[in-house]
Amino acid sequence: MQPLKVEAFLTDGRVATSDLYLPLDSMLAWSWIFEHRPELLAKTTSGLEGEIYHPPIPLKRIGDDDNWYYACSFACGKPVGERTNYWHKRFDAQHAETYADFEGRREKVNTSAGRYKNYRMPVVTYLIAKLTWYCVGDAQEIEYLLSNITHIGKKRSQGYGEIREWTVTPSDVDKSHLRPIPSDAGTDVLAIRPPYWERSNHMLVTWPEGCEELACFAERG
Amino acid sequence: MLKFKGRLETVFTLLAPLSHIGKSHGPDSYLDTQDILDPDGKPVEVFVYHGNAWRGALRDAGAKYLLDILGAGSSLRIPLQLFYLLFSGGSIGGDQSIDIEQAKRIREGLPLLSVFGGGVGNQLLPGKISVGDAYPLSREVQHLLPESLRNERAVSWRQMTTERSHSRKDDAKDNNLSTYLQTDEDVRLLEAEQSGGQLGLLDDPKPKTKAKSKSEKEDKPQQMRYTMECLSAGSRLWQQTSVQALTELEMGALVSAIHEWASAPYIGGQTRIGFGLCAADITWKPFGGEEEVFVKVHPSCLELGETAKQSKAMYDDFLSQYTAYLNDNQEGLVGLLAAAKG
Repeated sequence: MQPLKVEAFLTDGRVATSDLYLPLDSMLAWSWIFEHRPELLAKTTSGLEGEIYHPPIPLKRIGDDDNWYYACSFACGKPVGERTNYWHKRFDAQHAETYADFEGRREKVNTSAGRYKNYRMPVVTYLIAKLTWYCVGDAQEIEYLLSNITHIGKKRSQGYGEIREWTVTPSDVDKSHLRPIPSDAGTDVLAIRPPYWERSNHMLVTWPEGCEELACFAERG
Repeated sequence: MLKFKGRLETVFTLLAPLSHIGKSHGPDSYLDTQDILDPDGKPVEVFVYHGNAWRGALRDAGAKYLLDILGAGSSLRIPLQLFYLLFSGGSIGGDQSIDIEQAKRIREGLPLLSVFGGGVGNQLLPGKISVGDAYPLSREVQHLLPESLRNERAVSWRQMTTERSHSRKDDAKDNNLSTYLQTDEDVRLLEAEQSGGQLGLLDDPKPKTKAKSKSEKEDKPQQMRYTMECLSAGSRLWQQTSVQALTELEMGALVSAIHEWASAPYIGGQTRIGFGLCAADITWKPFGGEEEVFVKVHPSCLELGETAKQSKAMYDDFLSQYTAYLNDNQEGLVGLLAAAKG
């Protein structure tokens, strides 16, 4: 394992995310599971009970106790724009006339509340040409796992966060520490390893020096 | 099991104007835009036909194809929750429990749902395709286009737009049609007839009390002139869809959706007045493989490439077996999802 620089060149620059953390270890974990244990991808519901599976991703692990995390930074880069877009979901009344069976009940559907509610949902997008991560790991295996990652961020199914190209190159400097580090003296509470939505992975953290490079801290132009 | 991984690239050629509204001011509507990065890394505004809209159109078409085949001659009518799942992606609710076997069973039983994803009972089933926005082949997006579609002399998307104005006419105020409109006097006569009474000679045939302002308002034609900004007919748009590990059956389900959409190849809004009619040339670029023609859609003409043809044949075979099964077991399709809903 060696210090590496991982770069993602975005197709049109749009990434849908509210925080710009975009941890790379999380994507590698997803890719490993997608490749080897795809049935586990059904476990996306938060509040999940049971043991969390930690796939053997090719990154150096730091720490031995419950506070362990991967030597892998959050996304670095500087967004040049921010915009709120909207996506919509609606009940398809036209097709319901032909295909829905109301089973003798009143043929009315409430689309303003409840199960069939129509939505106009905001999605925050940032414009950024390139994102960079620093990590300590196995370049070849990381490259292979990244081939499964075609999009990053939220709303990938709608084409946001499309990656044109990934590059993995050796790095002279190790900046894998540019991430939240568990610390009892910390002031923020954040997850420190994938899955980042899992509550048991949340703990007190500090942000080390140099974190201005991170996209989530970068001054937006 | 054969897995498909790669990209579908679509070039839409508009045969009629395209309406895809982002903002509206009063009766005027404007095309939707997105900010993207130009070749120099600076933000630039460009019209896009949303990937989510194209995805929704394909989901609807795939569900129609499925239910028309399963209906064996007539459209199969399904319970509302299942309808919502197939046409709109469903919603999640209920207890927070996960059943991996159930997810697997649903993917195998309903390949279409496996492709597009959806909320089934308490479980979120991720889809397997990422449907990108369609960009006009304009100056602003040249750096995003495949080499074969690039054009140094391409114009800005703003030069590819047009405005279409229409009037909504109030036929009630058309003297030639007023013969067919029921008057207040007609109503009074009808009411008198129904109550068995007669109108007195001294009765005022006009309504006794009516606010003047209301009367004047009713007499004024309720007409509207509205204008839509559209992408001009003849424009071309490029779109790509990432495909993640589809089985051949799932690929067949995706082809069936395109096949069904091809019977009325419209995108965007205002299809009631013919807007959005288009041709589509779809190519398949397997990861690390050779590009091939996937589907060509032109009004009244559909051509399937070899991969699309084989996948669809497999899916059709699966559906015909399913249809036979449903004939013996009416609860089949519903039963598959019953546990999930419970």
